[in-house]
Amino acid sequence: MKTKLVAIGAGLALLAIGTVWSNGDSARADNGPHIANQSVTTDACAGCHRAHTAQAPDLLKASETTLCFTCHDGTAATTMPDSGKTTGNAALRAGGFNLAYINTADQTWSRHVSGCAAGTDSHEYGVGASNVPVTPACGNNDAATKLLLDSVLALDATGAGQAVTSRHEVQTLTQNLGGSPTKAIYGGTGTLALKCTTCHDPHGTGGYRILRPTPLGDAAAGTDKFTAGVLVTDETPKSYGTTNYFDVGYVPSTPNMTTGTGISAWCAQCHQKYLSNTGAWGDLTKSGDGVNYMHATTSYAPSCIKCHAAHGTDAVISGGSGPAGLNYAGTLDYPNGDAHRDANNTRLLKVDNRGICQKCHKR
Amino acid sequence: MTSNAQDYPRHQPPHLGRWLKGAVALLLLFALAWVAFVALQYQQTGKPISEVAGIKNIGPLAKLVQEPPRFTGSVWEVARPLGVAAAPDGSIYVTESAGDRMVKSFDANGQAKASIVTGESALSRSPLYVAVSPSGKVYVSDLERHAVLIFAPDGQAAGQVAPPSSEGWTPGALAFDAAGNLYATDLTPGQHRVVVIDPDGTLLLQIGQEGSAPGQFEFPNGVAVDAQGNIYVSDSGNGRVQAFDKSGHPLFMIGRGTSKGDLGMPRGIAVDNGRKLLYVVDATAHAVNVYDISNAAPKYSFRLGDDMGGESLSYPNGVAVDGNGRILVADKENKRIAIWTN
Ligand code: HEC
Ligand code: HEC
Ligand code: HEC
Ligand code: HEC
Ligand code: HEC
Ligand code: HEC
Repeated sequence: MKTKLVAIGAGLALLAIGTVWSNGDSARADNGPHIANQSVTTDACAGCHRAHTAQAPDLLKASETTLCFTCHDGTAATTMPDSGKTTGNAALRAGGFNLAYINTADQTWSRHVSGCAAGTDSHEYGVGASNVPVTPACGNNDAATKLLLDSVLALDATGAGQAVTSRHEVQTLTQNLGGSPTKAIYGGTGTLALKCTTCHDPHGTGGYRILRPTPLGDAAAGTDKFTAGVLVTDETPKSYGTTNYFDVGYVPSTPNMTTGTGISAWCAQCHQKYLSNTGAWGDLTKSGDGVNYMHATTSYAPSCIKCHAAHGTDAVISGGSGPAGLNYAGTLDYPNGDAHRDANNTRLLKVDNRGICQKCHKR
Repeated sequence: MTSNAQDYPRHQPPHLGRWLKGAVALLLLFALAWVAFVALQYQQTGKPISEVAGIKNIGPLAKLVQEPPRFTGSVWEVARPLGVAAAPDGSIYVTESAGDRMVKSFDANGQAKASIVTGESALSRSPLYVAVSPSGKVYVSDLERHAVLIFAPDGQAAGQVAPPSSEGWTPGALAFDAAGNLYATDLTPGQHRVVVIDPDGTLLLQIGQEGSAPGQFEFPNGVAVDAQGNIYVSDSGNGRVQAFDKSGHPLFMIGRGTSKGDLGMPRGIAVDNGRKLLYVVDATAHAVNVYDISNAAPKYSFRLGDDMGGESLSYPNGVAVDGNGRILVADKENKRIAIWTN
C-alpha cells in the first residue's frame, strides 16, 4: 500500500510539472473519466486521486470497488454493474454482480445478423457440414448449415432484475454466493483476489471495456502464453449504439487462441485450461476451476462471452433432466474430483440449464 | 551563489540561551502531558477528544478566518446515505442507497420518525436525493421510478412532479427557493441539465445540456439556490461547481485540481444564506469544501472532514444546512449523517 501511495504521489508530482504521459493528439477516450494516454492536466486525475496540502496523496479510503461504485451506481455513470443495467433500463451484456437482466429463459435459436433487413436475417454464419466456415449473407437460409455464430443473446430489461446465481466473486461485494474472491492460482503457488481493477484499468487502455491486457495479480506472468498481454480491440471512436453494443470487441472469427487476440484469449490468461483443448484437463488452473465442459474456442468457435456473462448471471439450473450420464445438475462434482460449489451453480452461463447450446445449434 | 555568506548566517545553528532551553523543555513537557491526557480520554471514552463532553473548542482550529463550525455528533442507522435534507422544523430526511433503500426521517434531535418508501420493494425503488419544500412537503428523486415523488412529512404519498419533457426524465439533485420553486438536475442520458419548475409544475427555466464546455454538465449531482435566486450546480463529471444568476447567466466556476480549494468529485451542495457560505461535498477528497460567497468571486474558506476537527468522512455525498446553523453531511461509507454546528 505504501509503495502504491508513493507511486501515486510521484505520479502526481510529475504531473504537477506536466512532464509525463503528455502525448497531445494521440489521446484516446475510453468513455467517462477512463482515458488512455491522455494529454495530461493535473485535473484529469483529481476526480479519483487526491493530493492536497494537509494529507498524503489519498486515493482510496474505502476500497477500490467503492470508488468504482461511487460513479457506477447511476449518479455519475450510466452503467450500473451491481444492478446489471443502465440508468436507461437497458440490460448490461456483462450481466451483474447482484442483479442481472439477462433473458435466461430464452433458448430459441438466435437468428439475428446485424445489417440484414428485417425478415432476411441470415441464419448461416457458422460452419458447414465439412467444418468450413460459411460467410453470413442476408436471406441465406441453407438448411444444411447447422450453426449460427452471430447469436445475439437476447437481454431482457423489461422484466424485473433477478438475483444473480453465479458471478465473478469480487472483493467487498455484500452477498456471498459460495465462491471466494481469493483463489489459488498456478497450481496453488499464489492467490488471486478479484477486484474490479483486476480486470479493468481505470486509467483506460483504448481497448474493449478498458480490460487490462494483462489482468492484475498475475504473479508469474512470465509463464503465460500471451506474455505481452491481450489487448481486446474495440470500436474507434468508442461509441456504442443498439446495433454494435453486443458485437464490438470480440469479432468471433478472430483466431484468438492461437494468436492471442480477442476476448477468449483474454479470459484464458486466467482460465488457462482453455489454452489447449487437448491439454491436461485435470490440472488446476489459475482460477482454480475444475474441468467439466469445454467448447472449442479456436478458429470460428464462439468466444467465451457468447456463452458466459463476464460479471454474473441470473440463469437457473433446474437439475438434470437428461439421460443418466448426461446430467448437468449444478450438484455434479467436477471430473477432476473437486466438489461442486453449490446446488445451483450456473457457471456464469447466459441461458438456463444448458439451453445455451440451442442458441446456435438448431436441432 | 553570489551572496555574501556573512549576510546570511543560516548555516550556523542558532545560539540557545540556557533559559530558552529550559522553556523548550517545559513546552515539550506540556505537549507530552497533553498527549497523555488525550490518550487517556480516548482510552476511557472511546472517543476522540473533540467529542468528549465538556471539552470544546480545543486547539488552533478556533482561530481560522471564518470561524468553522464544530463537529457535534452523528445520526446512525442509515444505509449508505446519498442525500440529506432539513425541514423548516429541523427534521432530517435521508435517502438510503443500500439495504431497504428507504427515505429515513428523524426529528431535530435525531430521534427516528416514520420512514418514507418510494416504491413497493427495495428492488423497485432507488431514492437518490431529497428536498423539503417551504410548506414542509418532502420531495424525493428516484432512479428506478424516474420521477420526483412527493410525500407529506408522515410519509403519505402526495403525487409526483410532472416531468419537464414529454419523454420523461431522470431527476437527480433537488432544491427549493423561498417561493417554492423546485430546482432539479436531470440525469437523462445525453440530456444532462438543470431545470426550475414552479409549484404548478410549469417549467420556468432550463440551464445547459450534456457536455464539458462552460455552461454544460456531466452528471450534475447537486443544486442549491441562495436568497438572491443565484443557482449553484455541482457538475460532478466535470469536477467543478458552476454558479448562475436567477436567469441562468453564468456567474463563476470553481474548478477541478489539486490545490487548496480545488475540487475533484463534487457532489452535494448547499448554501448558508446567513453566513454567505457555500458548502460543496468533494466525495474523493472525503471532505466538504466551504467557500465565502459574500463577494462576486468565491473564496475558499475552510473544509469539514478530513483534517478538520478530527472527524473523518468516507465518500461523503449529500449536504444540507438547517435553520439552526447546523451542517448535515451524508457520510455514505460511514453509514451516518455527520453533524457540525455553528
Ligand atoms: C476513474 C478513477 C481514476 C482516475 C481518473 C485516475 N486513476 Fe489512477 N488509479 C485509480 C485506481 C482505482 C488505482 C488503483 C488500481 C490500479 O493500480 O490501477 C489507481 C492507481 C494509480 C497509480 C498507481 C499504479 C500502480 O501500479 O500502483 C498511479 C501512479 C496512478 N493511478 C496515476 C494516475 C494519474 C497520473 C491519473 C491522471 C492521468 C490517474 N491516475 C487517474 C483510479 C483512477
Ligand atoms: C483475473 C483472472 C480472471 C479473468 C481474467 C477471468 N476470470 Fe473467470 N474466474 C476467475 C476466478 C478466480 C474465478 C472463481 C471465482 C469464485 O470462486 O467465485 C472465476 C470463475 C469463473 C467462472 C465460474 C466457474 C465455476 O466453476 O463456477 C466462469 C464461467 C468464468 N470464470 C468465466 C470467465 C470468462 C468468460 C472470462 C472472460 C470474460 C473470465 N472468466 C475471466 C478468474 C478470472
Ligand atoms: C473477471 C474480470 C472482471 C471483473 C472482476 C470485473 N469486470 Fe467489468 N467487465 C469485464 C468484461 C469481460 C466486460 C465486457 C463484458 C461483455 O461485453 O460481455 C466487463 C464490462 C464492464 C462494464 C461495461 C458494461 C457495459 O455493458 O457497458 C463496466 C461498467 C464494468 N465492467 C465495471 C466493472 C466493475 C465496477 C467491476 C467491479 C465491481 C468489474 N467490472 C469487475 C470483466 C470484469
Ligand atoms: C468519476 C466517475 C467514475 C469512476 C470513479 C469510475 N467510472 Fe467507470 N465510467 C464512468 C463513466 C461516465 C463511463 C462511461 C459509460 C457510462 O456512462 O457508464 C465509464 C465507463 C466504464 C467502463 C466501460 C468502458 C468502455 O470501454 O466502454 C468500464 C469497464 C468502467 N467504467 C469501469 C470502472 C471501474 C472498474 C472503476 C473503478 C476502478 C470505475 N469505472 C470508476 C465513470 C466512472
Ligand atoms: C459454447 C458455449 C461456451 C463457450 C464458448 C465457453 N464456455 Fe465455459 N462453459 C460452458 C458451459 C455449458 C459450462 C458448464 C459446464 C458444466 O458445468 O457442465 C461452462 C463452464 C465453464 C467454467 C466452469 C468450470 C468448468 O469447466 O466447468 C469456466 C471457468 C468456463 N466455462 C470458462 C470459459 C472460458 C474462459 C471460455 C473462453 C475461453 C469459455 N468458458 C467458453 C459453455 C461455454
Ligand atoms: C455462439 C454459438 C454456439 C454456441 C452457443 C454453441 N456452439 Fe457448439 N459450435 C459452434 C461453432 C461455430 C462450432 C464450430 C467450431 C469450429 O469449427 O471451430 C461448434 C462446434 C460444436 C461441436 C463440434 C465439435 C467441435 O468442437 O468442432 C460440438 C459437439 C458442439 N459445438 C457442441 C456444443 C454444445 C454442447 C454447446 C452448449 C454447451 C454448444 N456447442 C454451444 C457454435 C456454438
